[in-house]
Amino acid sequence: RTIKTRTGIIGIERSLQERQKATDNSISMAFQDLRKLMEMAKDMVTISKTISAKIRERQGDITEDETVRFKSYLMSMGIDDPVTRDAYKTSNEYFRQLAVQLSQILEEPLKEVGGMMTLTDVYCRVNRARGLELLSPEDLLNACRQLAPLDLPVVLRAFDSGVMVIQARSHDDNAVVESLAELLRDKGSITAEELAQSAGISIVLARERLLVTEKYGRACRDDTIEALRFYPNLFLEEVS
Amino acid sequence: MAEIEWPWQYNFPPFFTLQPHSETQQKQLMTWTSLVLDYYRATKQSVLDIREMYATPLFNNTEIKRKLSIEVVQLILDSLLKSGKASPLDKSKQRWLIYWHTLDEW
Repeated sequence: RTIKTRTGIIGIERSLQERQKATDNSISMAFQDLRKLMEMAKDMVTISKTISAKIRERQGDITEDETVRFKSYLMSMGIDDPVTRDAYKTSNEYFRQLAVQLSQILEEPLKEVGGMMTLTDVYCRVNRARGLELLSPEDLLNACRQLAPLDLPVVLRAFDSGVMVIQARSHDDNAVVESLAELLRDKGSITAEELAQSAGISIVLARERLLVTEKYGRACRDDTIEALRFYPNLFLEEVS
Repeated sequence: MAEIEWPWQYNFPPFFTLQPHSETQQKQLMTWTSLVLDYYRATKQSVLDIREMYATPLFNNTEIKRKLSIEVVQLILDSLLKSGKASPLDKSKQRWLIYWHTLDEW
């Protein structure tokens, strides 16, 4: 009989079994494809490694188009091999183009937020604007490292705490320190949260600004369980 | 107990936090060491026990609710030791003798 039994426990079990078989099939198909893909990638990796060895033999010709193209091959396969790569070019052509684009995108927004933006904020903004073809954090960082050598209007800066920001080239620490010292004199003391609110910047940046002011000797700290407050540096300013 | 003339720094909260800025820290510690000496001279005490340091108003300003941390007290005592104005009484450096004058001056 070809009629399926649709009733009873046996019927249910059969239909379950059939469904299982189908998913099994599609899963194993998917993995087979994946394995093929990986085998191909493996070949690509070995090939690119031999190419990199070849380049190493012919040391020193920088900015040659071949190496540029080779680097972009490496990029497209997601192989990170900066040690051998770095000997041939300062960094990738791709990063350079990206850096130029970044400086174009960021120049205006930077002015709006006061000339400084944390790298995570930059990452958010750029990727949200892009929609597709997103940047990886590493790509962004590498591109930002190229900002300074390319003489673009924005530069990457790392604070002592390790926080990285993009800032306008025209940004001047001294001016910030001066204005903060003035603010401290007016208010008596301030926390990073309070500064963030009154200046309209993020808490991370407010904190860094206060720390820079402290580094310049214009502020001193009061560290308690309540908060880290900053005071004008009366130790150096007051003559007693 | 004799009335002590507190320096203005005593009511300045950052005075009770070790300052990371080197020049500021130097000034801060200088003020602290001279304050400690003055305090001991004025109250005619000579023994400082680190375990009981918060019992006296010197390291514990109840008015602005600030206490000096033990690390800073150690720094102060170290600099006093270097200038010959204090010496530890026991090996664990918990009790210290504070000299109003250096031994040479006596």
